[in-house]
Amino acid sequence: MSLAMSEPVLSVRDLSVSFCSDTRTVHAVDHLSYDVAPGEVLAVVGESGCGKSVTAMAVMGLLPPTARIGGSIRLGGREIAGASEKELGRIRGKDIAMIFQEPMTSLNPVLTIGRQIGEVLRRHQGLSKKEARARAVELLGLVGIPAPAQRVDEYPHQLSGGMRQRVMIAIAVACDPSVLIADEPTTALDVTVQAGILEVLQSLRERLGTAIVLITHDLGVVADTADRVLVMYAGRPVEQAPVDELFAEPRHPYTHGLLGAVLRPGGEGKRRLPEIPGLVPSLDTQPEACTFAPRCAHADDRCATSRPGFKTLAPNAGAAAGAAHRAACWHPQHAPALMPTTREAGQ
Amino acid sequence: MTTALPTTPARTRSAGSGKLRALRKNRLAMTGGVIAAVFVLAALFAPLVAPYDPARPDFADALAAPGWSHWLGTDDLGRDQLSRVVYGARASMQVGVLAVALAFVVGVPLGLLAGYYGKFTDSVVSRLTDTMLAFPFLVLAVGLAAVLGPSLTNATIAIGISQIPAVIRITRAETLRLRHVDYVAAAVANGGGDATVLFRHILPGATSALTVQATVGIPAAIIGEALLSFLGLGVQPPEASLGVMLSGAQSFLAPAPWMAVFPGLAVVAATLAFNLLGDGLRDVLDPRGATR
Amino acid sequence: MIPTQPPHTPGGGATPVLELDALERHFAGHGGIVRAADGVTLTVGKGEVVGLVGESGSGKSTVGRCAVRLDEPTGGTVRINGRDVTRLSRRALRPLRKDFHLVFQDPSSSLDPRMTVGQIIAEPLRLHGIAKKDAARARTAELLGQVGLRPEHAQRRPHELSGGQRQRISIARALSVDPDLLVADEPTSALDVSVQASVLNLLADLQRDRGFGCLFITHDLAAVEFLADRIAVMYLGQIVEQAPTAELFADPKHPYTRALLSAAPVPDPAIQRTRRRIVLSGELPSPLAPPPGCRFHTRCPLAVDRCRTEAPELRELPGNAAEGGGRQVSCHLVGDDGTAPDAAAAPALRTIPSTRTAR
Repeated sequence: MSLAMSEPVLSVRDLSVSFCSDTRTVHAVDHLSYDVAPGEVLAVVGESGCGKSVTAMAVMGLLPPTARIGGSIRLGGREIAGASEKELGRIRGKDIAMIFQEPMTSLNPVLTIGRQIGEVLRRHQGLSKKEARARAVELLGLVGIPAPAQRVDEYPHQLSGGMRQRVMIAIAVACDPSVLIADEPTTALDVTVQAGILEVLQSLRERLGTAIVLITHDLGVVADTADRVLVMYAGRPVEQAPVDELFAEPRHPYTHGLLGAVLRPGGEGKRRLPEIPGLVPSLDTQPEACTFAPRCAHADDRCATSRPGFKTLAPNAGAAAGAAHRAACWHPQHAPALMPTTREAGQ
Repeated sequence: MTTALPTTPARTRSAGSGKLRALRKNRLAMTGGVIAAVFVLAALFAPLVAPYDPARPDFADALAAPGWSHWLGTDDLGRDQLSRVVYGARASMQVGVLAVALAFVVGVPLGLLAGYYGKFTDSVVSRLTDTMLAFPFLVLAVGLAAVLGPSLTNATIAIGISQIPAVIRITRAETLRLRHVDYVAAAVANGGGDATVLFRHILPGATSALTVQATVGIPAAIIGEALLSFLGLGVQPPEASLGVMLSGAQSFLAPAPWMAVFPGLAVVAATLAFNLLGDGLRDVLDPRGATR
Repeated sequence: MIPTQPPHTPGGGATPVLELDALERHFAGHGGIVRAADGVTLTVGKGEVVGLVGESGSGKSTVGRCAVRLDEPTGGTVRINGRDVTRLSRRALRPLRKDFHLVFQDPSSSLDPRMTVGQIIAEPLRLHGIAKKDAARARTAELLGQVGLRPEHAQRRPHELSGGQRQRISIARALSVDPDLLVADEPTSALDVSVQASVLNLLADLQRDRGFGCLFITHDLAAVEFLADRIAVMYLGQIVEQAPTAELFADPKHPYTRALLSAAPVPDPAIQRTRRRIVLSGELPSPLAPPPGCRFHTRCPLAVDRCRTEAPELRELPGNAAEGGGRQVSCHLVGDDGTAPDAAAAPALRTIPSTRTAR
């Protein structure tokens, strides 16, 4: 079944974000486009500084005033790029919501979690205090917090990190948003706790049909949760494909390198890990070239002098338009990923 | 919020020049810096800058209004106000620098010891600090003047002592913070003894905070000197000091307001200048800002 | 507390570089005593890489810091090259510090920002009086080369370098005195995936070439599998299982180890889809008041009455001698012949398919 056929609920076109200070301009995001279909999980993957979080903040309208934003962001067919703070206030929390890496800093330490969930409901849905509390209990149950009727009166510091992240998710989905942006939601958590959070996100998608933009650097999380993957490098999109296709047949050399470098539990033991030579480029300039070229084994003159478009590759069998495999590369690779045959781990 | 938004790729210029540039961009701090520099230069080269001998009376020209021959006018004894302000600035700077130096010489080692060794040493030093803070500065100054006689040196000592607790506290806080930073642990793991850890790693790490403390301490000392001299506990007439000048101007506020206005302005300008510079340095040198 | 077992010594006979015997680190916390490490017995043989795995709050970093005496153990003993260093004063320890060193998790805070790379790497050489001036400079250049950097990097300062480069400098500093023991505390956790790979490769290469013993502390199972010969799993201040790497991954015995291994998602969607994970109920108990009996019983899907009252010992299982011998596990439910309890048969167990359903 292909979810990507339906009308996208979030559509980003040619999004560019740059930060200007007196001394320099940093081009954090450079012409990024993607669509997310209802109920779809799109993973945005990349290493630190690739612009994945900035993209999310731009979509939420949370960037500082020093940021220059170009391009279009459409949420449910409505343009929200350049919307006023007032308009954004009506949209945020209701139509689109976000959860962050560190739940403690996003929760107010002096209010009970019931109050904090209820606040969103009262603002956007005009519920009474009593109704909001009842709904808060319901939401806490939905995100898998045991004994929600008691927990609703607790304060954030009384909860563990995993439970706090569940509360953040409850707040985020309180008004049944069509899009949920999750920025590294499990990075600060232990693996056994992470498993539970991924489970909650998955059940939300299934029960509420929420589209999820999952920002992460963890390819294990991507393999576990995503339907489609967008790989970013130095502010630009480099590859986008359905998750199975991306892992089985990465076309961009960077994706190739990334998949090769990742460790797999239960891999065949000691091997030398493939490395990506060189360093991430500075974002001060926007060269008319492939930004990965200096680190790429397949680069030639063309890569250094002209920028590859983010193009659909030869259509993959049965793929719908939205699920197309795209890559920004002059020499898309055909070799299967450098991964060893992984065997079942820990079972 | 999770991520620092503007992504910073590896920088190539050194931190020092970056900080200097940031300071230069701060207009207020630069204004403060320039005024402070003028004061420092005037103090250093007072004999060259001052048009007259600041102590020589000229009764024929007493209480002259500001004009061509005396830019800032003269006082009741006909002494040139400009020359006296310049020499007064010299006294102020002398007290400012020496008092802060005294506070640092005593306060920094105590703060380092308290922060680094903790436990008993820390309680002793902290109680000492609290006691000193509870002791009123003026009582100390009066007591010192009573015992040793009023003079610029004794005023400097009183002011220096009054600044010791602040220096101890800042040094101690920085030491405590740095003691738990990994690179200090690494220095121990390297085989470094207490001296290496304290003087090669902790003290250099605390310089930013201490620099700021110095720029705050100097104007406080300048005011302190003016206050003590005004009360007759500091510089003794006929020597010039901003405080002495203000004190002498009291009787002539109506006929010769310039006698009070110019030294007063000088105190305000010097204090403001160092405080602005200190604020600018604080922004630029803030350890949290610097590590980013 | 766990009665101590005779320390398991691999490499037959040779003195291990690190022996922790019933190591204890308790400290006063809010409202009681925090038992960060509570009876940890662990050995790192000459040239052996031992992985110490655990989640946050397991006490693994505390063990690492006690092992290099950056933290003061409150009980038990720490022996380095056979010498008891548990109670040595800081001063007495200084000359011994050339035998052991550590690499920290965060390379941006473990390098003094005011020093040049050259000064940082040369500091241990200088402090131990091994090399001065020109000799130190030459040695620094050599070390830079060994960690894949250029001699020019000696003039730079840490903030001018990338995270991966900084971690290489931290490694160069630790190895400058040619220690017999290197404790690496999450050395790759703060790094990006591709940088992680190169740092792990570097550690593996250097370990092979120089043959130092290594205590590799991490929460990353994949990284520990890549580097370690043997793995110890920690939970709430105690070691619950210890085994040669391949055996631990092929056949984990302790229910916690099994949950841990099943929870880490495999970066391959086709495989991940077919995996089942064991979901642990409840939350990590506070180290202020660890549960009586087996510390894991509050979250263990298999716990029986005995687990709630009687603390299991870390005991030796018959190991596969070919693999280097001894396995240890502390669980009542693992038979003396090494048969692990059947997780699937547990009444309280909740296994769920991996998150992503086939579509």
